[in-house]
Amino acid sequence: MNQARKKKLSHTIEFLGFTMPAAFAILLFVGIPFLMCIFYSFRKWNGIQRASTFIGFQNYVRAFTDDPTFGQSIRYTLIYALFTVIFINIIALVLSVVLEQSDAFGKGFFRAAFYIPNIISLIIIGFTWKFIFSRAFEAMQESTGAAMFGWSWLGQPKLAVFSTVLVTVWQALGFYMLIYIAGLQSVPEDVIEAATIDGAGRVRRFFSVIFPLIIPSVTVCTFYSIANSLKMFELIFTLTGGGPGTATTSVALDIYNTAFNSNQYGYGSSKSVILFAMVAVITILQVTVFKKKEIEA
Amino acid sequence: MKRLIALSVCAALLIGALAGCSGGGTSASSGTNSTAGSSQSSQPVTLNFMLNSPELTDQYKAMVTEYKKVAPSITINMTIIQNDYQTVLKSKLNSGDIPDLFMSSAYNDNKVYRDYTYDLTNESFMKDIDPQFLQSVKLDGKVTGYPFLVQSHSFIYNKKLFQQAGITALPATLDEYKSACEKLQAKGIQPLSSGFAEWWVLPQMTYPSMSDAYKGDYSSLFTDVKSGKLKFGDLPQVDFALDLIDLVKKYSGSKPMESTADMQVSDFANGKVAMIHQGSWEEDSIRKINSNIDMGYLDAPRLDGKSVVAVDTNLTMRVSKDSKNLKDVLSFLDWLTTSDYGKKWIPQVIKQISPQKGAASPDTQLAKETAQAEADSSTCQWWIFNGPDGIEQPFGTAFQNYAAGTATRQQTKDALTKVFVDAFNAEG
Repeated sequence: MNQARKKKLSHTIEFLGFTMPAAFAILLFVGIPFLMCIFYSFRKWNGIQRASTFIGFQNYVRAFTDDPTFGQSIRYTLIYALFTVIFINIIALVLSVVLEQSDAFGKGFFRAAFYIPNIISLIIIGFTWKFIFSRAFEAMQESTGAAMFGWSWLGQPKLAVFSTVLVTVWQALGFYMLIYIAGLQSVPEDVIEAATIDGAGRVRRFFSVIFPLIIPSVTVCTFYSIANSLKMFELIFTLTGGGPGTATTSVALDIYNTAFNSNQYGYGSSKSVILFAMVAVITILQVTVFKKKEIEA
Repeated sequence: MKRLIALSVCAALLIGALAGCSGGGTSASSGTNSTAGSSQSSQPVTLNFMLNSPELTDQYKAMVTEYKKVAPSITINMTIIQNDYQTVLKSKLNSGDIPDLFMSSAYNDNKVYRDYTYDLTNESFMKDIDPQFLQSVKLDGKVTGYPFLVQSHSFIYNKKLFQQAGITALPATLDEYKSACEKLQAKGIQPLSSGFAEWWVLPQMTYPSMSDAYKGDYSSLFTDVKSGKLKFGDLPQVDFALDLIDLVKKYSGSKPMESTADMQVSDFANGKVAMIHQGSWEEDSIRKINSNIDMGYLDAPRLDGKSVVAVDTNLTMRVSKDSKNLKDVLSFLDWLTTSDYGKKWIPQVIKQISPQKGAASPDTQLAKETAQAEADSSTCQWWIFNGPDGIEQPFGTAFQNYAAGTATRQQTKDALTKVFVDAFNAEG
């Protein structure tokens, strides 16, 4: 009895010992700043002066009733998130299925090729594509005369929205493919074989057997892509700067502009609390719905 | 054995984390505890400067090396950044890690940074600064900063391309600009590069052209905007600025909304475009690409028929009033103002105009043109900075929305009005 208790105690110590450093770091760099953010969201402060004043819910009221730029940024973020989530997941899933069936050389080469953009910093990706869209496309148009290179990819409001989606999908694909490939590899051979014997064709096998079994991967990928796209900042900051005008200003970029360019730190904080709530609600809903669809093999 | 290893790994992690944090903690607190005590100048002292305008990095370094000769015990530690300068400065101020000397804009930044800046009113070296350039750093009659460079901006033109297009009389009104653009285009030269992708270039282009608002009485202009007596968007000058934007957009090639400041500079330097709206700070970058280019300022058109170049001191050095080495910072500024090297640093090393009394004129084309404009008294202040804090970015975005076609003229005017209402509310 005593032995068992001792063992339990040492387990607890071990558990705490391993989790404490990380928990402490998260508390320090995420938890405390988050609480401070909530604190400042109720205050009027320019981020520099030493004094700030309490103004209750005024910042929140203003965000919802008197800020067209914020409204526009929420609209853009939702559109951007919708398209990136759909494109990323469909393309990544299709590519992983195709790659899983290809020969050894193609497998290794294309996996690496699709994954490489993912290890480059988003800031650099943004600057690179900015160059491609402007200078490189200009040169391409001069040599080929193709009309699409003459379009203003970052300067025409609707096209700029598409450009941000395009670059995001290109950049993120590799990461999601990795998760889908891992999911596909974990599907047991015997069920597929059984389905084949029962006379199921390729398409039928995919939709009736493989897809239901990889729903956990789908849950993870949709969760990540939704959360990442709702919080997107770096890529848009370097690629379009939110422009032209406010056409591609994401909520995160609008928060940055409010807090650091317009010097309204308190108001910016309240917008980030709203963004937090938005991301939390959407992702919790998504995970609950998808979890219900998961099945055991 | 296994458990022992596990526990020691835990301990190491924990200690590592704590050590890292305590290290950060002490450095932050040493900043906040600073008192304005005097330190012996013979003892080694390190001064922390936080500077923007990285195009001047070489010149800053040259100046610091020179100062080291005069004051060998003082080491100047410079942090030079451009992107995100404000953000980094803000975090430093809030964390208590306050630089001994930092740069900011003038005018409304006098108020923004007033909790941190040392009052320079009674320093003897400030008497050497031309009083005309002290206006921009004064707050309630006190001198809150050290005006550092006189800069100017307007349309810059390529004299050779203008000659090729047969333009003899320089344009000064909106119609004359239009006909100049048509002449250039007829010769196959792209008249302008807009810079509209940058939120600061677009409004900057309109400021000189709106400088006749309220006949130049900017303080009553902003008093009326603040009290709500005047909606900013209703100013006739706003309409004029929007006309100017239409014109520039029309003659800026096929992708006016994608043009950045870098592209303006390279397109202009390579002779691809005949005009850009930029400032004296870009002359060096232009010369680095094309050293022989023959350029000059065009006066920006205005509603009242006059045409002007915007000239002012906006870059301001501020001394932290809580600096531990206040005396050393002040003697550094004294050296920068009164020593022989200090006097020639701005005109000869930076090659821009110095705000000091009787300073030598720099040997650059745009500086000479600025001096000429001053002599002709066809200049204007950077008047927008008399207004509330934090309007530039939303102001620029409103104009960008107009130029990109996402907002109508009336929507743009309403947006501008709102920018000022919000900014005054935020000041409270």
